[in-house]
Amino acid sequence: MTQIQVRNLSKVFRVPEREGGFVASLRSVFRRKYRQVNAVDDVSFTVAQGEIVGFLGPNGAGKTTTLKMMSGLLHPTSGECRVMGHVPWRREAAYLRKISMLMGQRSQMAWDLPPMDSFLVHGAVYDIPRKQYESTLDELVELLDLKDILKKQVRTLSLGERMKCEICISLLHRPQVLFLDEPTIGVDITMQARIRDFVAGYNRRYGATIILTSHYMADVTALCKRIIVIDHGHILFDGQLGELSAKLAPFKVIKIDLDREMDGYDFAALGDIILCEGRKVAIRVPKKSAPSVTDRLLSEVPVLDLTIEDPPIEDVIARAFGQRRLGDVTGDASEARVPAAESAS
Amino acid sequence: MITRAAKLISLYARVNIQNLAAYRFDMYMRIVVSILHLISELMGVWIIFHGTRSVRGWQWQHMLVLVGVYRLVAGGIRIAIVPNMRRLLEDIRNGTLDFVLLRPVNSQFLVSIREVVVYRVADVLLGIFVAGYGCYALRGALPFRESVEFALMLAAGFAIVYAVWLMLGTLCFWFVRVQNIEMVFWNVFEAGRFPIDIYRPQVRWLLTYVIPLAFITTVPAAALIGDEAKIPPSAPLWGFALAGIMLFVSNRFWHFGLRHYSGASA
Repeated sequence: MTQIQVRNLSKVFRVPEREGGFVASLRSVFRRKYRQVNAVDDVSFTVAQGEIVGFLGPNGAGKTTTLKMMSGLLHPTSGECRVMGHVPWRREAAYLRKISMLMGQRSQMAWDLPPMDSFLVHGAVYDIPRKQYESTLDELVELLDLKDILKKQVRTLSLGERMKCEICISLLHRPQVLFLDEPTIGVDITMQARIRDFVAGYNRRYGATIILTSHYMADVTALCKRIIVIDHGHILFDGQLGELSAKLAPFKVIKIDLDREMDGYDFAALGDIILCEGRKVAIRVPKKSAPSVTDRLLSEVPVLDLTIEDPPIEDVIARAFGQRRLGDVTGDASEARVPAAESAS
Repeated sequence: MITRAAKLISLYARVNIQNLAAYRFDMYMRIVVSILHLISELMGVWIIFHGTRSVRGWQWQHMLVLVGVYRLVAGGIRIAIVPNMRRLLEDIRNGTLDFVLLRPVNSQFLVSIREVVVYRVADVLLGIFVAGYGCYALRGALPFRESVEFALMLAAGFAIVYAVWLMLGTLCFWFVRVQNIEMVFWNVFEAGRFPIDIYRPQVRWLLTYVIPLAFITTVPAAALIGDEAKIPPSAPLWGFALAGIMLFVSNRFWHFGLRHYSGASA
């Protein structure tokens, strides 16, 4: 069943701009110039109930703006959107009770109070029946392991602990649609994994629809079967994750710390050099050759530390697409851009 | 619905009282500053009336009522109106207004009740005491009818101030940094320490119909004094009409502004 329907959605921001320097600054006081920025440009897709969809794209691609229009925070310049039958930006109470938005970079907790107080306010604002509030809170406290931090001031919590509280408060009213904007940003790897598990579990238990944006490839690969890639406000790709990874990320990044500088060594022969400064080197290599390159490095240079990582999503997308549409890259736009309605059904 | 609104107001007030406990020293200092402000205002009255018995028909007892009303209104504004609007400006600038707009509660209501600076009640109590004393010194009693009229005019005055602040806060959707507006507001509000009659006719007209300061301090004070010479009989009606119109206009302006909210880094 289709739960989110987005058709020809666009958002244009009017942004002031000026040249650098004192004179330009004075001039802008009297005559300000504006530039139109098409943050989201004619975007269409649908999402079925219970789907977890990952929104990918570099900074400023339009992911968060799209999310904000779907959650009702922003009015679009043009286009339509229906979420569970509601027009989001009318912000009807009935709609807002059914959704939640978690922003990894912003906190909705009262800074000077223990989390429990923020939870109580949230319960009252959403008018959650007492029994349901208590049972949901108990469940979330158990699942997120919050018991020991409920009475601490939020300002004294670690980033990971605070993020768990943010998740808890976002889910207290049991939303049916969850917008997650960078939910794992800044937290350590263990916590990232726990958050992912929790989100996946919530989706299974309540059949909730989840839209996720993240810079971490691992978030997306662990949670989303379907992804939508946005760049410059356009949808570049909408389809199964498997298709995209195969097309876009067939390489790894090997980072090494050396015991001493190796000026004469030809790192370029191993792959694309991303970084080569003093004793730190990072090389991008095809996925298949990562083991052999690692072997070579370990045997030929004095390695202190070595890590093999997936390249950042932004790099993957920028490298694969540049300024072009996916169709230009693959040679067939109609085939590459999987219509959302088909993939959702 | 009213019960729910009352519940939310009391809940936020409770949260604010809890917050207050974390900053007790700040609270004590501000109460001391309030008392010093009041003393300086009373000194002003004393200096003026040291050499004269009446200024444009206002005797020292009348002035005590006005100073009391001024302090009461200033306290009321500082309890909820200014703190909430200050937070609104911050929220618009930082993009944290998102969390207000995501709540299933009327957004204007929510941005107006989140902050309560409880210790500012001290200003209100000091104001009531001074105004009550002035009234008592004048008549030897607190007249019931005038007190009710005063309460109604005071409510209209607060409604006007709230509407002005909501409109100023809404401007932030376009101009982002309007923090200095608070300084401008308090400087203009200072003029309310004196009866509107002492100003020249043009200024009086300005402070009544353009910046409706008269309805915020002088009209409620005159209602409590019960002297019809100090306010025209139609003033209360004007006050209510103005409050109603301004509440309506500020509400429409708020909704118009929301359409222009772009969040931060959206």
